[in-house]
Amino acid sequence: MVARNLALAEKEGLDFVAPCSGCYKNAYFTNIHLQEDPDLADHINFALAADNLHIDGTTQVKHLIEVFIDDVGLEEIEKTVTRPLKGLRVAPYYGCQLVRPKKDDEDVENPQFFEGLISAIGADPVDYGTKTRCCGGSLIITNRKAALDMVYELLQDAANRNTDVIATICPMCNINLEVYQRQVNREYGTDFSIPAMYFTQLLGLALGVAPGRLGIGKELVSMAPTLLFYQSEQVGDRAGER
Amino acid sequence: MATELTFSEEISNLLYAAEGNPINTCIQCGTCAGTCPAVEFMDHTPRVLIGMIGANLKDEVLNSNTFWSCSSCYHCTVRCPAGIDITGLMYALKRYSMWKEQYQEDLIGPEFSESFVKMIMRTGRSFEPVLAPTYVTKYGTRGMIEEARTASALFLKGRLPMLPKKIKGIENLRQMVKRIIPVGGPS
Repeated sequence: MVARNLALAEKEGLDFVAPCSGCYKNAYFTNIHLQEDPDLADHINFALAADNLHIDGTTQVKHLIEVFIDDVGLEEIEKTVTRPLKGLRVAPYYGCQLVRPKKDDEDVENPQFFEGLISAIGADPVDYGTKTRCCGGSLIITNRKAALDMVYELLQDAANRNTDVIATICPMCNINLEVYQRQVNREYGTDFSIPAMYFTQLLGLALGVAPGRLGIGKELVSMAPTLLFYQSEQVGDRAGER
Repeated sequence: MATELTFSEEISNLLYAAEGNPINTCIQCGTCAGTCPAVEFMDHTPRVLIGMIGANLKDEVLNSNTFWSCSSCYHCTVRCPAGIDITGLMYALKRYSMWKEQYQEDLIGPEFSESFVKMIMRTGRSFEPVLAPTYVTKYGTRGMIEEARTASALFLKGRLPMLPKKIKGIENLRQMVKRIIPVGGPS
């Protein structure tokens, strides 16, 4: 299944970019296995031939955040920012599968690249211990109790560090942290109200993209405080220009 | 005359092609259990489960909820000092227990996995509104109400699609999968 998606990208001569950590992990490691194991590649190519596809393993697999950090570059982003999110406390949530299993010599326990991106858009990265702890993933369906407990732990840690917004790099993590926040509140008698935003939403705000075009307004945990902050910054900027 | 494999050997064979070291290299240190974010919801910790596999306690292992409580976060895998891919082992046990049709009755994981795969074979995509009824009844009344509240909130925000979408060339996808996994009936 993964090889089919990779083969479709390969046919068009394109790189393969995944916005989701799980998709990224599967695509990245499938690509490596196919490059390293000719027998496996033969077997998979026999199957792909049923759909007139073929895979050589020449496609580069990237996560969307790598496109911004490695291909665009933090310096370039910093230069392009028109509305720096000064003073906004953003907790970078890496989750699991972007940094695990281990690839080459990457830091699987305390990575720093997401903090770099948050600094580049003018915000303050929150330093907290659970940034690579699991959000529960699909256990939210198959073992609801366990997943809600895992989400609770993350929200509590972020709240302890006065987090304004949790930034995510995976739509699944975003759903667990954001959509299930009310269920966590009801289950644990807590009163969390921490918006979770996919990192491109924050990036977009800093680049001056209209909130509506970033999907802001569709969330269940209101981003209004973030927006209010954002707008007051704008007013502040304008006052500075005068 | 081939000798029958022990349960422990069978599981080891399932991991034969994996990257990590064989499970019999486990030193029973418990780093996996200390790391796992879901461990308190497991009836046996990963460390104990690996010991049970080594002791060929087949029924006890297959009836455990340990591997069905694994969220595949790979934290145990990257920390294991013996280099065992414990997450890979959990995946292998899920596949094995479904293959043998032996698992705890009240679990959602096995049924969900099956309906998920069937859905992908039908449309090529995941579509939650069709999947949800296959598991939500197991949540109990309170859980079902919670899920209904969440779903309606998402719907009101325009975040729940109403109709499933099929991928282009779904028939080709089915033919492709048939070349790898026999999906019933003579080919």
